[in-house]
Amino acid sequence: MSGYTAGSAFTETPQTMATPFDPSQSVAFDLNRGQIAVKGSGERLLVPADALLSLCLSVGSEELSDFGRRLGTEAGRRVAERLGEIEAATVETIVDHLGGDLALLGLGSLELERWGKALVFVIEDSPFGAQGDPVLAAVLSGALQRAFGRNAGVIRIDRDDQRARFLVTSPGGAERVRAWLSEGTTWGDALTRLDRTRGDS
Amino acid sequence: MNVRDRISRLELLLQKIQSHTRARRNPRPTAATPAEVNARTAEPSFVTAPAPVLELVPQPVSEEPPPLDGFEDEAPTSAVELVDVAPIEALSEEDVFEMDSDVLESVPPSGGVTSSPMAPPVLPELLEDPASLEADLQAELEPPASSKRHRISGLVEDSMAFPESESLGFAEPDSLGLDEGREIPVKTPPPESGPQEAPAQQMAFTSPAPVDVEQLLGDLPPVEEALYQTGPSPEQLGQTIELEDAIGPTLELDAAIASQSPAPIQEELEVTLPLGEYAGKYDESLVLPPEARDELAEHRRKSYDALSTTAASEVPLSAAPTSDVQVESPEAEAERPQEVRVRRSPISGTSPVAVSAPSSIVPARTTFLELLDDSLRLGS
Repeated sequence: MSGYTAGSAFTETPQTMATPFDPSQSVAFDLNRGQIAVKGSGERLLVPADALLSLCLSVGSEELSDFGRRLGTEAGRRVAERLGEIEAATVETIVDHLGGDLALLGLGSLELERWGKALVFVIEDSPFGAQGDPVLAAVLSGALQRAFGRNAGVIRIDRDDQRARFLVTSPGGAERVRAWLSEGTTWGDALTRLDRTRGDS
Repeated sequence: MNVRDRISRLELLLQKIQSHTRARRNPRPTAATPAEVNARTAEPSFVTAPAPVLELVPQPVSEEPPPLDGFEDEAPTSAVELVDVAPIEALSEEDVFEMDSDVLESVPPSGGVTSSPMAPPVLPELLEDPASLEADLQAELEPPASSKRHRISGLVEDSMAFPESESLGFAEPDSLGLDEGREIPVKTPPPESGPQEAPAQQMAFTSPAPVDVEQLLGDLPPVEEALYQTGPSPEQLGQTIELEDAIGPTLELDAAIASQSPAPIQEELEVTLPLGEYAGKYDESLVLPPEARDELAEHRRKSYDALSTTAASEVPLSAAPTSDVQVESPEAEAERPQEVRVRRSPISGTSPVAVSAPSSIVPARTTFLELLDDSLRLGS
């Protein structure tokens, strides 16, 4: 992963943006061997999304979460390897690189929102649709776990035809928000109530 | 022949005329049998006997002068019809004078027709007064000096004022020199008698006064105005004139149509002045006046203080989208979380795959890990 190691300038000036994500030559198609590979990772498969989703829905939640976390762990590892000292990486750098890797996986486009102190990932145009949102939540959780070493609880708080919002918070906070949403609280009010709990803790 | 004989002849003639008139006015059966027809023809009728006295009967309206323009002809009188009944050629003078007064007594005058306009019944008192009867006969024998034409001219003369008659082209009879004593033929001359003198009533019309052509032309409106006022002539009505299509480029027509629509009138005549060379620009080479330096420094200081105060207070940048509209207090609204959106930078130089990525990136001043830790502390 030459060129994506953490440099001195990046560490000294975290405000400045690191090397942008460069997907050039990231995906290698070996047509002679009939193999597809992503740089820095193992072999990949180009499979229909609906077929994979059907497979995911046929398994239990634990297996589905493990499948997604494996995908996210692989993406987090690549981001961490490219960025080097990922602790000093800015928000835009993380979004750029992590979103690049998710895009290579074909899972959609990544954005990040911050509501108060809460981080909200937004994935747009996911091929899995609303039924594949648990997979995406597991992917994000695994990426954060692998890249930053944080055990984060990721839950979907909003969904429309194209966009899905995932709140990144503590596992306990995720459970609270899930309970509030099940009670009918809007996701905005849930974030507000979650933001008020920071003083209580 | 004395007067009484003449009277008797005239009475006889009158009786004949009455009988003729009665015969003409009484309707005859349209479908008579041949026997009836023979009986009628064989029966000697005194009424149908020829009356040679017809030569003495004046024919006042036998042949009227040609009608004049502007005057209406009157209906022919019944006397004309009576003249046509008797066959004049069959009459002889002997037949007339052989009749005596006995015949007159055998035919009562009241034969059913007592109100004939042309033949009033002969009253006994008139017979007793030969002088008056002579006067009446003379009046009847006089030529038709009082024809309808003369009466009409006389009516015009009486009813119209003199100045008006002058303006209409009529002149006073005296001034026109009408000769009332002109000799007028008593009887209507036959057509082969040649041209006759025109009656006197034609002289009632005079040639109009000479027209002042220049004055009339001056009173006329201009030619174009007259055309608009009078409109098309009767000869032009109903005639459609096919106009040829315009020859030339269509642009001329469009331009003409566009020129017809008037430009909107601006109430306020505002004119945008042309921008100068330094319009909207700031020339840095300009030097502030000495008295403005202190004011500018004070303004900047106040602006900085106000900005610092605003930044210190926690004001939400945007509210979370909610489905329910809620009104919150300023304190609660201040506690709402702020939204910071970060997008990935554009990805370029991808040869193997097509990549689309958002282009706007919100710069962040803190590391992602710090934000992640803050978010993980929520609800823990």
